[in-house]
Amino acid sequence: MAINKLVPFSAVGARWTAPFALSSVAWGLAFGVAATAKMPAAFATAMSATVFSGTAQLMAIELWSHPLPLVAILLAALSINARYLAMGATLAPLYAGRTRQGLAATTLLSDASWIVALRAEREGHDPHAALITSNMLMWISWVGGTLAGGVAGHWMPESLLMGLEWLVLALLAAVLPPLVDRWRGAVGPVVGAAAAIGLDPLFSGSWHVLAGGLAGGAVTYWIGRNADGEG
Amino acid sequence: MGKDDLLALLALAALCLAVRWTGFLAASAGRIPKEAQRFIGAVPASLIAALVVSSAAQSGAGGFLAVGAALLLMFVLKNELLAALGGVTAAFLLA
Repeated sequence: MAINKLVPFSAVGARWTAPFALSSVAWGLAFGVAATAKMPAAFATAMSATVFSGTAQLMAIELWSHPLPLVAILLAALSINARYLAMGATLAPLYAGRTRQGLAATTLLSDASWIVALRAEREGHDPHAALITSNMLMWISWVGGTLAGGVAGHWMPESLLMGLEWLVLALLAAVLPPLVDRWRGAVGPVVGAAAAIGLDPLFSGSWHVLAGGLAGGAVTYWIGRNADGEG
Repeated sequence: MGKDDLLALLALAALCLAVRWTGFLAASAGRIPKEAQRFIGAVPASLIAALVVSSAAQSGAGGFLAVGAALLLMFVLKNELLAALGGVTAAFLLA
């Protein structure tokens, strides 16, 4: 069997993915540098290779301390990555009767490759080849960026290590505005942040963060439902 | 890194893979109610906000400066990476 049958390649998929991949290298670099405050470069790279989810990984390294709050880390990652449920819903019709192929294609699903696959389908290209190509490019750029950042981070002077902790916080903060839908969407995150601070003395570990996130999420959900009711 | 770190990494990787696969399988079978999808979509922003503010409170003025500056810069620059780097730089200069 030819290699391109095993690992299909799509030129348009590669072209459309290129800007995302460049951004992914930069993000991987930043994640690799930031992760060195908590773990060796090899471990951070292994995390990028196996978890392959930028925001979930940033959340994980922020929560990574000993003893490990494993349940909190997993619940946070589950919440962050739950959007893949909806992404899978939109890709499922492309793989009707080809479940194994669909599972293989969604193994390394990312935001960028999902967009590329949908665009390929809409414009008459092979969406499976575009998805696989995009997945591979995004994975290579993310893992490569993490490795480079991790190695660079270990050469950083001690005085800059505090900046790594701040970098994780700043990266997470910068992710927020695109997730918020105008002023109405900001209410939930503000409630979530306030609840986390308020609940901090009542919980050990990271449970106050999860409780705050769920409280804010419930508020956002409630506001959205009411707005739809009015509309 | 110890054995518990490795196990946690494996669990995290398995979870993320399971979410990707479950999303595809459940969605193709039409088993995710619309309201559940809506609630799922509402949680991440609040969870990130809760984590950021909670962690910044522990890291002191520098952490809050980095977060505040990154948020402000994000509205101007519209680029997460540049905003974050600008936020950290501002925290270094002002803290």
